[in-house]
Amino acid sequence: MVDDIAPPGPSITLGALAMAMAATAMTEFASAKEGSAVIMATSADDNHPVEHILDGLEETFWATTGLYPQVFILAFPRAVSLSTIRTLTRNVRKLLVERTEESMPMKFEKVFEVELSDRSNRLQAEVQQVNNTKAHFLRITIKSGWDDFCTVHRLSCEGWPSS
Amino acid sequence: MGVTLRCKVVALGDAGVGKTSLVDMLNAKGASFPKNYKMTAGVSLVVVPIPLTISGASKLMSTTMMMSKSPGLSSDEDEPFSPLGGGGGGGILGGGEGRLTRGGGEGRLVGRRRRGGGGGGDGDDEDGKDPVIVELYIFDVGGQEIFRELAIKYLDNASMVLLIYDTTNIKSFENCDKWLQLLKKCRGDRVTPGALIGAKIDLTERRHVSYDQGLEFAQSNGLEFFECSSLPPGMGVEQPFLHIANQFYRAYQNAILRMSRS
Repeated sequence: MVDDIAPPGPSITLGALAMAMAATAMTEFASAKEGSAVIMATSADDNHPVEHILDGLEETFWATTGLYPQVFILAFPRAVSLSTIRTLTRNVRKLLVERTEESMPMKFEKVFEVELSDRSNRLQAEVQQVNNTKAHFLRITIKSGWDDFCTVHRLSCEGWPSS
Repeated sequence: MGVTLRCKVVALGDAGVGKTSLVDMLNAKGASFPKNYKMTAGVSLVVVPIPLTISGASKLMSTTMMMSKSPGLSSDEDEPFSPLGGGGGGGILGGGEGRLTRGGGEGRLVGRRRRGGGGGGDGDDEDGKDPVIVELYIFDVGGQEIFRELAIKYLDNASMVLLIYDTTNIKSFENCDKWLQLLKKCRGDRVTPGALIGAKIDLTERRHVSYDQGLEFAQSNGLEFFECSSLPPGMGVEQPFLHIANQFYRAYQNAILRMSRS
């Protein structure tokens, strides 16, 4: 009897350990610290540069300066496997996210496309599970907006190093 | 701050009122005023970068609102705008050293500070201010009825409107309302700011629409009013575009402010 009860203890611990390991292994790749960078953007305002997307702060943002579509390309230091992509924006209407695994960001394929609702200048938080999508580059296209101008405050790409 | 804004402008109005002439005059600085009527089939696109000097946005805001009574005819004094023309190669509009204006060589688009110093082409930012450039993407929409369906596609996401009529043609003035209705329909409920322009004021003897009529219509529709003549050397050609560039820059500032707050 005693022997029968004993095993669950270590196995629960192991399960928790595995979960903890998984949690620690999940990395935020959309950050300058990880060596990621925005290598191209269609709008440039010195006060609201595209670097603000990766600085981890909600208050700072990249501002688009008129007309659609607006595009920026995020480069990871190496190919990664992504599980969740989150965006924090204002006045964005149609958002398209594409990826490529190649070392040259030339041909992209769609990851997802969403239409965000009009929150009249307030923050729009969008979360997409992307099931281990592999990417070396992400191309984010704002196809249309709810206003002449929109902003991107944060982009979060969580995942694991690609094996 | 240094920034380039991009603004989509639709030029609307009846056929033959001079939309293309006006846009060409701004773009080519009078070099290509057409001798013959050149019908715009469908839509043509012209991109004109307008550099602005920002010496306190509030100044720009107040001055753009007080246009002198007949802006096209007013002299060079009381310049309400202060675009960073740059006498030299840097300023796109000022590059021609005042060819937009009445041959004086001291163009409205050439910064005051730079008068007489044309041709240098260096140091546009010598006054220490970062340039703001508003690129106007002007969609010149053919006024012919047959192109109406095509034009509608271009109105949807326009940021600004230039509504143009012929001061010698009362029908073209009356039709301005129809153009506005069409624009409203295409844009949903959103208001499109912009300018109303009475063209061909060089034909003084054939004028059928008075300045006051134009002004009244503009005011009741929330548009700024201008009159102009696209015939070289041109009168009041650049003011409507400067107004639009200024207004768009102001809209950008306001949008940034709104989004930073909420």
